[in-house]
Amino acid sequence: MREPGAGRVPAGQRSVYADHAATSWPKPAAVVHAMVEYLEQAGANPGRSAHRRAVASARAVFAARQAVARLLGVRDESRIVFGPNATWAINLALYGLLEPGDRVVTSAMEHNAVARPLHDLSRRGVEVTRVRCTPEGYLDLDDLRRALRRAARGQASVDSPGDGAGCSTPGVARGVARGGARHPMCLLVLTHASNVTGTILPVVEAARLAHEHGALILVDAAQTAGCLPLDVTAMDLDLVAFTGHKGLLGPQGTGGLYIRDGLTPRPLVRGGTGSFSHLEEQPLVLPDLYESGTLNGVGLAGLGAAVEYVAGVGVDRIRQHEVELTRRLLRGLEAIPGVRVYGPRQAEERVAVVSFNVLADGAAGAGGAPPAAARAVARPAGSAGEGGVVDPALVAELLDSEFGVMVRAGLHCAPWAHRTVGSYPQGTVRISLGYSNTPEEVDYIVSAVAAIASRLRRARQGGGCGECTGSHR
Amino acid sequence: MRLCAVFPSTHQALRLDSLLREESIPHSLIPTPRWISEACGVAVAFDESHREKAVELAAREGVQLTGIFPLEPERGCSQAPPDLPGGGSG
Repeated sequence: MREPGAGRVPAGQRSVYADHAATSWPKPAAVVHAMVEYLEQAGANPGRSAHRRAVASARAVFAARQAVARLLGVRDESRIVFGPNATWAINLALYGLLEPGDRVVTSAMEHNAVARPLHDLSRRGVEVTRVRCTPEGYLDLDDLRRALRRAARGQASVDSPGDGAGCSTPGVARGVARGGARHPMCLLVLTHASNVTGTILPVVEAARLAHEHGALILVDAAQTAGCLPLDVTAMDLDLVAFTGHKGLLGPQGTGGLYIRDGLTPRPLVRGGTGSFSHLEEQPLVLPDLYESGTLNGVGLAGLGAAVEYVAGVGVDRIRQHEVELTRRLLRGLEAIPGVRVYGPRQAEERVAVVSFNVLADGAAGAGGAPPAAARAVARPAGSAGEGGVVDPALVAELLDSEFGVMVRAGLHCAPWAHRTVGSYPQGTVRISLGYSNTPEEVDYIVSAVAAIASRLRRARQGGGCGECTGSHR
Repeated sequence: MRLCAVFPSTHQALRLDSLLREESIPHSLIPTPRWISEACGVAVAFDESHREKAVELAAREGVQLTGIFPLEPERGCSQAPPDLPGGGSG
């Protein structure tokens, strides 16, 4: 899977890709091959015509659907609907199911893919309760139980109290097929793992609690599909949003939603499906109901090959490798003076995502939450003054320009998670590893962070930045 | 005689296609004759000697079949409902 020297790293300079939580790279050769083959050998419109190229195209999409269904433990693959990404899938679930008066419980670790639609829906009469999490990103199940109980009783939000009616029972057909009066719906929306700290949330226990309180559960699996074992049937999940281009190792522009049998969200988009063309109404059959317009055939051909690759390696094996890398990375970063690591200390409690900051003063390392770091969160980004942290963007830039280490800095589209862990508004430097990374690469990343931290802190203490060869801020 | 299995959705057609391929049963995906169904644009055609096996596979795997029809040689003759303007699917 390796292609050294790609990207904008100069020839001869070493590079390490450590931004897998944004998009995995490189993709397995089989993915590239499948996409080229699709364009050359198929390349027609899947599900429309029935000539040989269209048939080859439709078969490629079908194979991708089968592969994803198998990997996620879905028996009926028509319950997997494809779209461009996990954000689309989350929007389909939220806007397709929720109506004014409905109640949502969510966590304080969510990505904007969840937080922004819920913010919008809260202005349209949906009651949203955000359950706080610990500074490591853990969700307390007792807090969750209380929030679900309040939501079920119609006391979801102190700002907009409900009408006191109980929540409806999950499993009842909703949305399109619904008729007559309805009880308010309760929906629990949880990320499976944080894209900031990697913290894994207890979705199985959460699903059980949700169902006990008459609520449904939507899981955002953007950071976990392909990285953690995920069996939606065994885990009793109702809706699962996934993306193709992260842990599943597929191309960008692919993703989708698993919808449990009996749930029928209203579609976000209506239009041509290649079926029931004589009807003005959107066909109710799956996956057509949610797949209007031409699908990303070439992307899905790549996704199918990617998922077969992941299944061939085995998610358990991928997980084991990523835990070992993460443990090594945590150990290395925690030993660097003046570096604060966020999130769980145990690699087993995260996906391979590690956020850190370089403290601008003091020797406060990873242990606990030092006062310096606590003060730092109130400082504007880039100030890096006494008690603050060095601008994560500067650290990320130096990692790339001087060491060829590619990471992501900032808020990672998840301001709530940064508020929770105490890194708002400046954010963090995020290292995210993938199956293609090696222990030796992790050691190189650690040595690069150590060199940068040492230099920046020396420069800060000296009052200038005379040694820095990167951008001066 | 060739037969034509039609489905409520392309996905179901592709499911039977996949099962028939696994069993190496000769068949082809064809545009659904308009006089049979307007639900789904893709149908599965096979020789009537494979009818029993195709039906068995569909039943075993829960493939939703609308029906199985004989493919008439003159099927190209227009029997489309008069309210349809013609034109393509989707």
